[in-house]
Amino acid sequence: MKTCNYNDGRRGFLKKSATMAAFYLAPTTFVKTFAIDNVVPTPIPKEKLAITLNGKLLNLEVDARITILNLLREELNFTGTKKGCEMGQCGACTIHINGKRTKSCMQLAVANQNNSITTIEGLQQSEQLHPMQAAFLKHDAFQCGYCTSGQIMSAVACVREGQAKSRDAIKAFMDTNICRCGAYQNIVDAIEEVAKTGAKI
Amino acid sequence: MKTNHVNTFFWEDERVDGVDKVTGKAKYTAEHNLPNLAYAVFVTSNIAKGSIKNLDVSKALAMPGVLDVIYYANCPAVPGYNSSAAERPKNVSEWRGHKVLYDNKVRFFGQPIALIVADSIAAVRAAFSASFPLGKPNAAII
Repeated sequence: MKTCNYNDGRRGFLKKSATMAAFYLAPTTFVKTFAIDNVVPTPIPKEKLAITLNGKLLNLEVDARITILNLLREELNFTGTKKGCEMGQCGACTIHINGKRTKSCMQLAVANQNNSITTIEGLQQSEQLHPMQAAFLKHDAFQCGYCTSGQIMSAVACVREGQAKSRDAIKAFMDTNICRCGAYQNIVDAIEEVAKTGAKI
Repeated sequence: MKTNHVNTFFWEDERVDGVDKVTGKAKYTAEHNLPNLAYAVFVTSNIAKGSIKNLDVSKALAMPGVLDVIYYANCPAVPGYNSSAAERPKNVSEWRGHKVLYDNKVRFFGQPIALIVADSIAAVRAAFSASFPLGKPNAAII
């Protein structure tokens, strides 16, 4: 008969659910107490920050609490880098930090002491468009254009890091960037074309 | 000058906003550089239905950089809109919409119940998390 097993199962289930309940309740209380005690210090901390932004050395004094995205957009007025979700999900804020693509909404500004930052405004070296920008334009790889800055920065990293070997590889690498207009096919087309030319970008 | 457009569906050099968008020069709504800009965050309700007995905004107002906290007690009235039960139609859909922060009634989960206004993003975030821990209003809500 299975009665015995059933009883064991129920006892086990009760034990497990009690443990789970304790697990879920306890942290909330701890976190709450911590959050209330966590009073923000005054005066507001200002930190000295030296960054190289698009090849230009900047000596700044910034609020220690802001992200590199808010520093760029609100303080320095470099609005080419877009703010989408501020949760690291959409990729609209992608920039290059020391040549590596990074979601700028996930980084505190002061964590980038002496770092070299490239935004969409710094991609264009001369009068001519950067090859990736030209390819995006040619393949109509955007509609509203809000994700485009992030897409282009990610795309450049994709080609530079040699991840653009096939359409699937491109798709896998570019899954960090969301496009609500659904221009994905054209974005992959653009990246594929730039990768095929083999130009150093 | 180009004269024949008939045979091409896309002509990239004529997309009016194309170059602006790929170079990041295109200005979207939040990107116009206005002087004296203030920043705001909503405090939202953590219950689905009820009324606010008391909302403690003193902590938020005491934070550096905070300009004001707008909520039902100090929200400017909307001309021609009356939320008092005697004057409005019984059918909720006839109220001509929900006016945010207008009264102390909570009608849905996540409803904005207060608006913290400050002079910078960092200040408004700090005021929010200091006065409403974990994003929860410290009001006595029933």
